[in-house]
Amino acid sequence: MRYKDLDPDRYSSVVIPGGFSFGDYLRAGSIAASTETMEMIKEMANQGKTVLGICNGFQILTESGLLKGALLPNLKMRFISKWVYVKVVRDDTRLTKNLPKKVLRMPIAHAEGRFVLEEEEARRLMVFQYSNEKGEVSEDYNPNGSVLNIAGIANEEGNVIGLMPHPERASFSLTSIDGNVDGLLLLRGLRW
Amino acid sequence: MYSVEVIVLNKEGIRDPEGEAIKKYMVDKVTDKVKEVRAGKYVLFKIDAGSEEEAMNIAKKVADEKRLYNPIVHKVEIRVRKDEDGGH
Amino acid sequence: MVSLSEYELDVARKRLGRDPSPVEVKVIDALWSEHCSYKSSKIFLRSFPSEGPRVVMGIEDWQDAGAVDIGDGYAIVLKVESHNHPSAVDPFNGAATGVGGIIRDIISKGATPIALLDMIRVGELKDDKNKWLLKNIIAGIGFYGNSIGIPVVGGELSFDESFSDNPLVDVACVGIVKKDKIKPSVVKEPGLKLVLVGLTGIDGLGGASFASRKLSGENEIGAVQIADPFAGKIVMDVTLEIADKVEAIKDLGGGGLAVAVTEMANGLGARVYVDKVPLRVKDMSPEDIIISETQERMLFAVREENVEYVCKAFEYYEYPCAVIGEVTSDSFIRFIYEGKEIASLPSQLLLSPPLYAWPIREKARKINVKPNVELEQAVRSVLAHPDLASKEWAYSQFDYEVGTSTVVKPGEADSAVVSLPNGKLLAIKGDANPDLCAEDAYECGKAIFAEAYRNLAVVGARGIAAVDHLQFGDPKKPEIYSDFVDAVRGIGEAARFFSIPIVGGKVSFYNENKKGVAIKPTPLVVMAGLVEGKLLKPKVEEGSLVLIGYTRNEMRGSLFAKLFGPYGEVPKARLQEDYLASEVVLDLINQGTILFAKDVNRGGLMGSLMAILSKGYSAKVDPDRILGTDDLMAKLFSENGGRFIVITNSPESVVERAKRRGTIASVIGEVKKGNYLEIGSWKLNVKKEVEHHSNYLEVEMSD
Repeated sequence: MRYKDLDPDRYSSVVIPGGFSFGDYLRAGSIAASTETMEMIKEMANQGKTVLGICNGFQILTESGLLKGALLPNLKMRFISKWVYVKVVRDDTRLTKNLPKKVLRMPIAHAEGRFVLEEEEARRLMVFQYSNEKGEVSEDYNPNGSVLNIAGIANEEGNVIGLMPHPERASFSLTSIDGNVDGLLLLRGLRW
Repeated sequence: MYSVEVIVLNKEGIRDPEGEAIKKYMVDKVTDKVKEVRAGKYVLFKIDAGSEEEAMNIAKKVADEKRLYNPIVHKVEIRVRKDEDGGH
Repeated sequence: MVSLSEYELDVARKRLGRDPSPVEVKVIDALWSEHCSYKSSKIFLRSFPSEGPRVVMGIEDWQDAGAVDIGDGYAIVLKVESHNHPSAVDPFNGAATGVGGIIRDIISKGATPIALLDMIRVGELKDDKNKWLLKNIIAGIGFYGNSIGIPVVGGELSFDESFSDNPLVDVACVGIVKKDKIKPSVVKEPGLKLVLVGLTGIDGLGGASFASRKLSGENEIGAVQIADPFAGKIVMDVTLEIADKVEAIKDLGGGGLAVAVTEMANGLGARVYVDKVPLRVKDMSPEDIIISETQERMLFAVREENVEYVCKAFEYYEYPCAVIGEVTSDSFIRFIYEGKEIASLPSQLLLSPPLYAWPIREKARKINVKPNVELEQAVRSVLAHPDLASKEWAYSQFDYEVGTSTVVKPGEADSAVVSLPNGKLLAIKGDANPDLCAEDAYECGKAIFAEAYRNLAVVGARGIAAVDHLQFGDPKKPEIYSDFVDAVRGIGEAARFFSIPIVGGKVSFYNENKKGVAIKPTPLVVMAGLVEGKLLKPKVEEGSLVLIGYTRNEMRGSLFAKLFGPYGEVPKARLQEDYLASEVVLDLINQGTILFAKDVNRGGLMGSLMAILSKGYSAKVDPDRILGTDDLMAKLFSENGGRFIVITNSPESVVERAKRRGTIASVIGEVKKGNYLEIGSWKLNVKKEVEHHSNYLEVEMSD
């Protein structure tokens, strides 16, 4: 859907997908965050509807204040495409409530994914942490320098969720790196 | 100690899509007084040098030799100030 | 700024019957530039086979890209282009605008771009300048491709001194379109309105003539174009949205409006009101407006009743759109400014520059003796060569999965595979071999075409279409022109042999360093193919190692010869062997008999084994089982074509399959978990080599 054509009353959930909004000029997501469409999405979030931001969508959610924290350029200062594992650490969000797996394999593809937030709050809000396939979290598996290896967070209520990895790219066995569809498991959470 | 600020901008006449986008989608929604916006890169050096001139020359040498900017596309502005407390 | 020769000006004068005005000279200069007119190459390009049962749109009649039928009512559109000269001056923007340009070529056909390839060649990384170039080239490609959302799914990255100062930045793009929705770039009827979208500025002034001469090393600011992928995204999305409502689409590239209008009119005439062109800066002179090469602009030929629809679609995104003129029946291209006609030139004159077949002279060949190299030194040096190193540093900067259709990803196999909307799988690969072409451009032309064909076979695909890009030094130098002609002959011969039409191509001359030394001749072939049976995602596992095809003692142009001194024969491209070996591999994939397949090329057998060793496996090879030569160095390092290595659990059936297809295969060893390379009784722990392989670029590029 084109961003100017959103009619918030018609939908119970909104997904802000990845991509580069407005060329990601200035800071990733910053220009999109100042559009009227985001005002409508804020309203939807306040009504308790599900708002999911993936990659650039996550950046837009932090830039617009719907989620805490900020996403800075990767420590390596360049775009990184890579398949990673993430550990799911909160099960009180719309997306992770009924998730059958605790470690998911999905790709990341971003230049600005280094999540920063004061540590105590970050620990409370985090939903996904970069890990190995066993779910062990350590600096070795941190692709971008995020605080606490954070790959995604949610608000306190758990209806606004943002993450850097791309679940939609791990939803089809043909295009998934090893045939897994972990991303689809996650996206099924949108049917609440 | 000197603070040397190196500011890299596209030369006059060379487009700056980032500045244009900031103007069109952000600035223009607030005011019509801003006539141009240009975005660039800002690099701050803290240089241990004997004089302003020396500090400036060191920054210049780094900028030129390590291609902090591309002379064909960019103009570079270098500003020096002496740090109040960290000096000799 | 004008690059027309005295002779050419004279031709123009004679045909016109008068002196062209200064504005007209600029228009002629743009159209007759090497870049736009192919004046030094066209005669020979005509020799390529461009027809075939699948070809929907070939290279004739000024089209921007060729299209081939892939069934179910769909066609793919394929195009390759370089941005060498701009990338030498401003690598970030040069490479990024190269991506933008190739994407606009694809949307000009009404096709949705689905994948990009990038083939990069730079000088050796011990020189900081080359590092700077490479870093910015990769960042620029990523910046544009990632932002606009087209995945870079594969490519090449190699190093040679001859590319210092003059890097080669080749990008290819594949698009998909419903066959009956393909748009031409030319018009067939007068009366259509010419609609221009995008702002025109002073960037990129004189780029076409800039690309058609040598780099002067002076201030080349006029040729710098700034990339704006956000604008590019709007242009792409809206062009595809309105494609149904327009009669022809053309990207504004080299030579700007002058070239786009003339080529679109294609023999008809056009009237362009220069004052109507939306400008980014005030006070541009009319001739600058006419030849400016500002990026992110498109030209449409539109019926009057559809003009409003088209412009409204662009205006939704606040993107400028204006009617700047119309197509006329009188075969004159006219530019009007402030009510005055400032240029009026016959279409025929502009579209038919003098064509050249420059003198050729073959290079003298030197005979050298075989260098004396220890086995260990040879293996270690070849395995450590940057050309063989993992390219993850580069491709991890590309969003290679955006669009969720990348099936075989960068680094996984010899070619990339993407899924198409009709469920079919398309494999694509670009290949060049400057070291071999420097030795023998004719054999090389055949060899790179065959290599691309083999690379597609590795994933289970058969080539269906190719595009080529021919990159050389100064065509007026007979030895260079001789290489050009030879390369064209080789590529054309192979294309005819495989019955794969060449549906598009580009030529880039005047690639020289600052001392006037030409690059190694670098013709390049990009091939697309369909996986008609099973797909193979090659996976290294334990099993028997089988080599398909004969290994020959033809070492000239090999990596081994590059490292230790040139010697020996030039490898002959025995196309029949490439075809037969590929058929064997396709059979094996469809039977499900092999786990892994790889083409043998750079670094010979040893180079190919790197793909196995780097995955944490040992390879044990019995050199006596390598058939075709007794020379150990040739067995290990020869790069002659027609060969694959495969890993299988049923080696006999591979050997049997090869015999049935009329060629040979030999079980040369085995693959096991571990980190050793064994050749007969000689054994090497390759831990260091493997580490170097994975880290070389990362380490080199981070200091």
